[in-house]
Amino acid sequence: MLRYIGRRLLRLIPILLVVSFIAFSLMYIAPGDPALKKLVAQGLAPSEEVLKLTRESMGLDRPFIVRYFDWLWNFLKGDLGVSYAKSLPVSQMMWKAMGKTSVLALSALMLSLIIAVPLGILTAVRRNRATDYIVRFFTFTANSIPTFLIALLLIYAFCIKLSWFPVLAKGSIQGLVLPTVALSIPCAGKFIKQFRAEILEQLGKDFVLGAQARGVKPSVFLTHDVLHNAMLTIITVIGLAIGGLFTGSVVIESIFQWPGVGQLVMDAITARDYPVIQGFVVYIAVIYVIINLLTDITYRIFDPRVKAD
Amino acid sequence: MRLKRKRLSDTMLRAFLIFAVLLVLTSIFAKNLAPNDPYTTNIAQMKQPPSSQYPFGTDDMGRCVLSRVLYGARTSVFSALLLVTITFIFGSAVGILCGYYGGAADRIIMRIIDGIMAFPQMILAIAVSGILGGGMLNAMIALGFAGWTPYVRLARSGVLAIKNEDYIKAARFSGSGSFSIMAKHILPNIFSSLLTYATVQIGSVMLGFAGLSFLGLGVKRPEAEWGSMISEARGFLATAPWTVLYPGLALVITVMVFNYLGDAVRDRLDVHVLGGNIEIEK
Repeated sequence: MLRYIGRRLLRLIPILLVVSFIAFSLMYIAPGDPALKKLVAQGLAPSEEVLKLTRESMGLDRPFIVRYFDWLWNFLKGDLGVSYAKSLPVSQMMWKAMGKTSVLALSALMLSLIIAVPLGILTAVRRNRATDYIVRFFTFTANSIPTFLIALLLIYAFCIKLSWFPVLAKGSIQGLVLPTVALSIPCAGKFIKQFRAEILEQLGKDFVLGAQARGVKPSVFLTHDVLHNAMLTIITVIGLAIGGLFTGSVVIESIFQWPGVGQLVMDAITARDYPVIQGFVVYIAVIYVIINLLTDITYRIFDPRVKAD
Repeated sequence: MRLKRKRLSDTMLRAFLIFAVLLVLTSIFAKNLAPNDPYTTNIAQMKQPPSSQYPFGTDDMGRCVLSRVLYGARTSVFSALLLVTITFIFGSAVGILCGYYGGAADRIIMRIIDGIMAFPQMILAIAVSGILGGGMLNAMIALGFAGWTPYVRLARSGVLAIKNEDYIKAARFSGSGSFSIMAKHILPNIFSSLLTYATVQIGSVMLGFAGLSFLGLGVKRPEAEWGSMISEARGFLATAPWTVLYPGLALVITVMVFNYLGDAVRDRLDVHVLGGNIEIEK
């Protein structure tokens, strides 16, 4: 097990190198002089003199690859530079916003599981019956509706027509309800599909047929064997859902004004605040990679049969 | 039973192909179908509810919502189809070459792809188009940046699986060049799984474009595009809900048709290579 974890960690190094290189290069794909862009973002008048000083302080006179390793070294120390617009360290801004986003993403994840586990079992057990078709239509629709439309429909129904919730979340508990629901609907749609497939596979296994032949009640082998194995599916789907949750939260946060990383990056894009955009990309990628690693490791702990690497 | 299922999936496939073709035709003939000009503003006709002159109502600038929805089809459907085609061809070509030749170039490209795939695709797209400054071309670059990678993995693993089969060896011994082996013997064998993946992707690429446009990173205003129409209209959801509803419906129906089409193609070609590894989140 430890050897497996060690091997996985080693394999992480080249991936993270490429990830950091892509994130670093992002800063330079924008058309124009980076020093000029920095000054404009700070609202300063770019005279020739100031421009030259800025270029030097940004190290733009040195080769690209040197700047990259400089940046990487700082990044490893947890320093992602300073925001152009707010003059605060990017990592500090990220940590604060990431807390808010985690609250949103985790509650959406919980809600998705609460919706998806029972519905996934139901559709599998009642395969090809009315319930199955209804739920499958729901999951299909959920996979085809953009998150922003779900959010707007919820706002229309619950804020405008019924006035149950405030439109803008602003980080309050009450304001958390609608963003969570909006974020969890597409997620739940995906989960139900996975659970249904997994449970159908389990139900076709020999031990289930054997149990059925011995006259064991469906509820008994469902809870004892099938669901136990379905736990592994939960771990897998969580790993698969993280990317979608981060993406969804960018949109959701900008609609509900939830002060997380999504709102932070949208503000940064408007203000052309490149270090913040860069920091956002790096943070999300690192978290994404780590969560995928953790789900793989957990999967192995729960299922020692998995030898595939 | 099997035959019956096959026949059913044939019917489904045909039905959704017809739907998809209809959508493409709608977008081509948007000009002829639109009852009004989608860009003419009219202060006197601001936020009018649906009527016979404006079947989907008008927006905050008095523009005809139906006409804008029809013109938006062009942007949404075409950009998605174009991007899927480009990434499909490019990614497959890279994947076949990597799998066939292997070596250092293959290892380097695969490490780069591992790195790109370490990002959630849309997060990277938001950052890239945000830095490039929006616009449809930049949105395509942003989505395409990560979009080609799954085809490489898919094509490469397909090539590796059949590379050492006897018929490939036979072709080589009988004097076929590398290019002809790749084009005549390898591609036909892996094409169905690549095509299936491409079809399944159309819907999510559309959602990707709409998402970027909604965030203001896709088309530039006043260009008609469903995501940006919804974004513009969200401020007056309370007073003119039809301005959000109709582009929203158009988007959802179109994405559903293409998603169903993708599923139907997968069922028909019976492709099961689409494992969790290459699943891209939306």
